[in-house]
Amino acid sequence: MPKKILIIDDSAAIRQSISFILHQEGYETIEAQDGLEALNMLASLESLDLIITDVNMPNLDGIGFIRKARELAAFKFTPILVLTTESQGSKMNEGKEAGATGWIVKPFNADKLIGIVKKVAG
Amino acid sequence: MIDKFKAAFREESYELLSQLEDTLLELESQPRNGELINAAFRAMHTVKGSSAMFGFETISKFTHEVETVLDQCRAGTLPITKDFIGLTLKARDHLRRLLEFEEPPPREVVADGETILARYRDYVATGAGLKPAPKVQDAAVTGEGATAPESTLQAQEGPSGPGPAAHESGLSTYRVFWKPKPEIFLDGTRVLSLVEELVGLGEAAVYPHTEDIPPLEAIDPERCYCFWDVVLTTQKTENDIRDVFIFVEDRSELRIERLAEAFLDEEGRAKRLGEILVERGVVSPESLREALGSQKRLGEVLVEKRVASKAEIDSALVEQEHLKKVQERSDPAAGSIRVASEKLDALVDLVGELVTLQARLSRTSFDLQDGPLASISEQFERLISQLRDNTMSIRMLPIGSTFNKFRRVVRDLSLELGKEAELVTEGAETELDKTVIEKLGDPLVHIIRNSLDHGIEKPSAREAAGKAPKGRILLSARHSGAYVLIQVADDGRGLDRDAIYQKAVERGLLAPGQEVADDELFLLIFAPGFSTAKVVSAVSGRGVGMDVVKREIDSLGGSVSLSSEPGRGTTITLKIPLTLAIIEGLLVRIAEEFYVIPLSSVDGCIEIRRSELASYGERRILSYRDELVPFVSLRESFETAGEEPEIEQIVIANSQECRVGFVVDQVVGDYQTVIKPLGRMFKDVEGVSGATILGDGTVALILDVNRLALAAQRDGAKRAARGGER
Amino acid sequence: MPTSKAETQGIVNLSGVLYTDRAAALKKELEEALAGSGPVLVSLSLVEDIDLACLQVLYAARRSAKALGREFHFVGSIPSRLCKRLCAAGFLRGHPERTEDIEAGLVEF
Repeated sequence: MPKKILIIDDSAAIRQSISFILHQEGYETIEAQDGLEALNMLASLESLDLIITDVNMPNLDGIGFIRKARELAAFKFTPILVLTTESQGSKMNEGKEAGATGWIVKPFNADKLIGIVKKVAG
Repeated sequence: MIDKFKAAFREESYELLSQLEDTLLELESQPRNGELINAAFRAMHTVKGSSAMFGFETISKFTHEVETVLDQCRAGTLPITKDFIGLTLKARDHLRRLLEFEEPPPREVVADGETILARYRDYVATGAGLKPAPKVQDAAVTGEGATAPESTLQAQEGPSGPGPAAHESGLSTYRVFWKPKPEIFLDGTRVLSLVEELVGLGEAAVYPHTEDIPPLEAIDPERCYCFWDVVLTTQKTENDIRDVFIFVEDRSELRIERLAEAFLDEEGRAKRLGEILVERGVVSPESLREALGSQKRLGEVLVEKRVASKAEIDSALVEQEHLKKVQERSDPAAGSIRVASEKLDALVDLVGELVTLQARLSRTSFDLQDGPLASISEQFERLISQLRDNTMSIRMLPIGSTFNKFRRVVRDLSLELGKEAELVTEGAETELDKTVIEKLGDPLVHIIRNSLDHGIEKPSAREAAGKAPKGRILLSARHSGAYVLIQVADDGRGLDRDAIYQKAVERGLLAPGQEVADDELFLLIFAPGFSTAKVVSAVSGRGVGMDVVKREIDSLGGSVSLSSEPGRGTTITLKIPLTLAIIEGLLVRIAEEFYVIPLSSVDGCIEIRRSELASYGERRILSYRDELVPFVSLRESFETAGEEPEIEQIVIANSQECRVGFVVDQVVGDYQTVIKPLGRMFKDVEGVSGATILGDGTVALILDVNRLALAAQRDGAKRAARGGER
Repeated sequence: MPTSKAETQGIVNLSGVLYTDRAAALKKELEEALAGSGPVLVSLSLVEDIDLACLQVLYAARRSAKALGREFHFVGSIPSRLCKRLCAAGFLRGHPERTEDIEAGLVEF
């Protein structure tokens, strides 16, 4: 069974390029354009292998989303990666405190993305 | 986002592809080296991943297919053959080309890619169904070059395989202690994945500490109780190791310690358990000493005394075992250290001075006729010669390291010329002075190119001549006394005697109709500007090359010889002195001046009366072992003043082209000498290659036999011509 | 729920991916198995992957069983993925072929 990954970003280009790369690696992906839409999706999902989320998004931002997701029993221990722009140390820390597993610093290449995804989602 | 990174992507890909090329060439000689297959796979994989991200779909699709095949090789379900490597090299070149186009690339370029992929499919179809082969990574080090029967290569770990070269390739051993905080699970971290990732960095011994896991009723299933001791031998750096834990740094305790490269103690034994425990801070040196006093096994004593826990002992034992294993693997290099080459050069210089001084000592003690002093001097001489040999051996490197680059030369050139050829190497382990090896690269490339261009025939011509369509070039090295013989032998058509003869006449090197032995004739191809190629090819070029080869080998104090048989092939032999710094010479005297003739070129000495010599007159040719040998008077050559003695001596020396005699006043004897570069004063003196300082402190010049012989020949020809005019 | 316990014997059939989210349930199941009187038999045949949290619970159960004088064994076959995981993390030495070797091979189990 392919591993399933949720990608949350308000930029369709980024969502699609990440999806594209992950498909090549044999992952299954679903996309949400902000935290709120993602949260609604979680309600109807049993489990996920990984969530990749942007930080700055309308409606519900990445940090807020992570906090909410961690409150759900099914996603308490799901690996979550935060997409940060440049090396924003503060965002990484904020993300980690909210319960993120790790982060991906933009810009990243496909190899780096795959490396990190494999690292946290196995 | 996409466009911005295209340039960076291209940059990165070029880099990766050039690494891939190196990897593939290495893989060719070590087809079962799992690490190399992995590296090739990784490179392809990386290009695939990033090309997709930046819109290079053609590249992405292409690499995807190649990667799939590489993956099968990695799993051992497909063999790695020469053809496969050739094909993958092609794929690499194709990728490089693709990178130069924007998406979509021209149709014909894409079609080229399709051709390559079709060949891969054929390969998979014919090679599939192979049973997974065991990955051989620590095969015995044989040191022999690749001799590949059939098309499937055998695993051969040359000098660049694991083993002695392990240290060269930058393997280090680290002791990693990782203790995640109890709440590590709460952010979704997969602890075992991280340990697996760490272990994947190299060869590791892992000890998980489970002693803190409570019984079931007391366990909090969402807390972490375990921690790890890992000993890791890897090419990776400490930062690479830290990167594994990058997301959990704040939630764990991480200690990385690099272990000293040599795990042996002063007495050459592997590290003791006690040492490891002290290093790890498990026990203090005092309690170790105490425990060692007991008759029981150290581990048991320490556990009994509650100085260390069983887990701590077990963990240390795991480390000990790992170190032993790594140690054994890299045994020849076990106690090795790296030294800057300047330090070595300085040492060689000092030894050179000592050798010189020693010569002075023996001479003085001989002159003084002092018994005790003579005895000391003799002992001193023995020690110095040992010291010299030891020092020289430090500078020695196996020549095999340079062999690899010739493979690509042969591969590419044979393609270019529409020929088929393989390079077989022998004696890759033969050791030679480091500086000599460095200077040998270019001449060897010239020779090999020449063999391919002029020697090896096209496949059709070979088959017509009843030979295998694939030509073979044997590159071999072996010791021969103080020399190394390096041979490049091809099984091609051999030298064209008539063409060379004709050319030699055209160039005025031979008189028309002049009789000349094959050996002598063939050596003419090393003459400047000599090329028999009817069409100037892009490869061997315009007759530059072979004369350059000769010049460079001369400058190494070596010599070139050549043999050839029509239809059977040509063998070029380079005779290279093991070292440049010290030579054995024959010391000769003319009037008050001393000269050294390299012993390697001395064939013999004869005495001759002055009156007899005078009878030769203008014809300066004497008979030596049924051979006519021209001779020169060094007194004349160096315009030395004074009278010749009644009985003179002639040293017969072998130069590249011929034998030649040197008339000297006296042959003093064998002499070991350190070559010093010539000062400006002597720079333009023809026939001198260096200088040395004699025992009594005077300077002696070292004769350049080849140059002098040439001059003698020229002279002889002139005289003969003059004689003919008369 | 893919995890089930046979009623009368202390058999625990594990399956799927044993990540942290399964650890609490696994603990409960093993506690129930230990509450009986027979030997506790744990089948790993259908396990696809495991992480530390669940492995720790298995260790804990085995230690409790020992303390209670109860038998605790693995049964069924060993999935290779699981085996690889345990080897890489140092818990298993070598690659055991028989299930009973896992018990013997697990470090300090």
